Amino acid sequence: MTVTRSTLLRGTAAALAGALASPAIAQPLERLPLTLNWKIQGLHGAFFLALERGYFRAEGLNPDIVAGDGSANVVNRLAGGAFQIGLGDVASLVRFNAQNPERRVKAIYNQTPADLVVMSLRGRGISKPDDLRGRLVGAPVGDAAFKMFPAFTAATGVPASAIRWEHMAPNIREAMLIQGRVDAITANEGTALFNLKAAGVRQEDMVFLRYSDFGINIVNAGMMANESFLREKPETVRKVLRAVNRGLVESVANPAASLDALMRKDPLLNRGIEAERLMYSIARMVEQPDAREGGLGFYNEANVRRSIEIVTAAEGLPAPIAVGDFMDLSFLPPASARVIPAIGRV
Amino acid sequence: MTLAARRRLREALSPALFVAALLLAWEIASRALGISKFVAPKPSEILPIFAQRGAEILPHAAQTLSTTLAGFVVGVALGFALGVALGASRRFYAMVFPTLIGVNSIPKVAIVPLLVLWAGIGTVPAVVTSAVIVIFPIAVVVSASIATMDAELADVLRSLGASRLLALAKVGVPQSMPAFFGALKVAITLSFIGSILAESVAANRGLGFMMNRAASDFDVELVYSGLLTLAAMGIALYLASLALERRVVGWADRRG
Repeated sequence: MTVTRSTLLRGTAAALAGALASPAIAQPLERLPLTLNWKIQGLHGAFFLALERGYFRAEGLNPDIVAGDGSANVVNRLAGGAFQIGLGDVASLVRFNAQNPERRVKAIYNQTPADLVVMSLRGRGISKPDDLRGRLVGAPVGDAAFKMFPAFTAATGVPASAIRWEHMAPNIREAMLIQGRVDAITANEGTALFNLKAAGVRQEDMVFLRYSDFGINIVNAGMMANESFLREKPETVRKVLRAVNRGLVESVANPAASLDALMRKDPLLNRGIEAERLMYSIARMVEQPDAREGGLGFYNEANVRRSIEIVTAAEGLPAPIAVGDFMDLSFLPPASARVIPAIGRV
Repeated sequence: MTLAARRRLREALSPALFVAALLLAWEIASRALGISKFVAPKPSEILPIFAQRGAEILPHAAQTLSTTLAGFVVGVALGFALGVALGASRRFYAMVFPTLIGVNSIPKVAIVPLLVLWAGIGTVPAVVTSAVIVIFPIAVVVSASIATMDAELADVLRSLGASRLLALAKVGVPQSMPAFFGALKVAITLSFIGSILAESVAANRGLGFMMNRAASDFDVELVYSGLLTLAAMGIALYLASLALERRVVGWADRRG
């Protein structure tokens, strides 16, 4: 038979009709930009595992997962409207929601608590908070441990004014410590520890002044969303949390798969370092009291209230916000889906 | 008022009126479209910040202005000298220019963190970045202008016994001035970019630092007031270079 334009058209139409009738295309996937808190690393593997394994597709979602540029900046990304949901530092919501009650961003899923730390190296003469007096300490201005330093002061008696602060971008903080341009740095332990390791510093040569050792425990990484989005698209939010939760549960049970998904997303990552970072984050996620009490994603109300009080005092805000203005746990998947599995091997 | 005076007044006022019209259009568009302050605050939200928190902004602005000026002066001097050498000698040009292109192709964002590790935090990297960023455009424009200097004039001078160097000083350099002042205006804006870049990577003072900190406190109005301050300082430097240009190469302006 000769191919004419009309037979071609008819053939195409038939093919299209067949495709449209198949169930996979019958329901178009809902596109959704989703921001992470920082450059792709560690537990982010859970998101890409969820993507690869089709956990999002099973919910009818097609998320566009984007790397972050600082966990405290995620709330800016959400408030600006480019994103409606993402993984970020929920402690930043204490200030944001206090100042912007008309466009709150709410915590909806707890990932990991903060691991705030002042870090130094052996041989710099710093082993306890008092040793920081008169020393040079490097701190990115947006760094959570720097912002929470007033809480460290309250617990240790070392005022910020006794320290000579040097401010720099987070990506050169560890290099400045190694170079000796600063005597110590403020950081999230999981970030600085592995950055220093990747730069060849041995863990036994690192000195950690952990905020948690002085009773300062606050919330950190969690899923958050615009309050307006929670109101307008509650089903979409539930679907996102179901998929993310499946990714996280699977990452705990099978870290190797999570790491594989991460490495496929960014082959330039150092697999050894990322494996350690992942296991560190998993341990922090499952060992926190909130998760032990209510499963992954859960926030204990009393712990949250305590976090809000610490942040409010440290940042000099007029009054703490209500727990209900900070978080909304009604979008969490059922507790049975959030049971912590045994930690697998990487 | 004479006709000429009125025309001068109109010329002096028109840039200010244009800025005012822009701000007004921004305000109206922002209100009409209901744009959130996290996307872009309205001028009516930003301008009061200068009255309320001017004392907070001033030391940062002074720091940025001084590092930028220092870098600008150093960079322009180096760029000019390099440009004259490149324009005067074909052999030097052939030897150095490819390297210059290569060095300038390295993004400054990648250099600043290294500068900070070498030179420490604060003023030095800001001055260096602001200088490095202006050398190239000045050198390129000046060298092209010197290389194409009026051959007849140069020949006349040389036939009268002038050395090559003297011909360069009497013909090449003066002829390159209009182009040099054009490049200067590009360099002003670039040198601000350089110092702000360095300040936002590592500094304890300066507008780059202030805007970084304000952003981490969700203080959007302060971020934007920093941006407007930068714009204003850029315009001030532009006006200064314009005054200098009128003195030095007023002869070259053929506009009616």
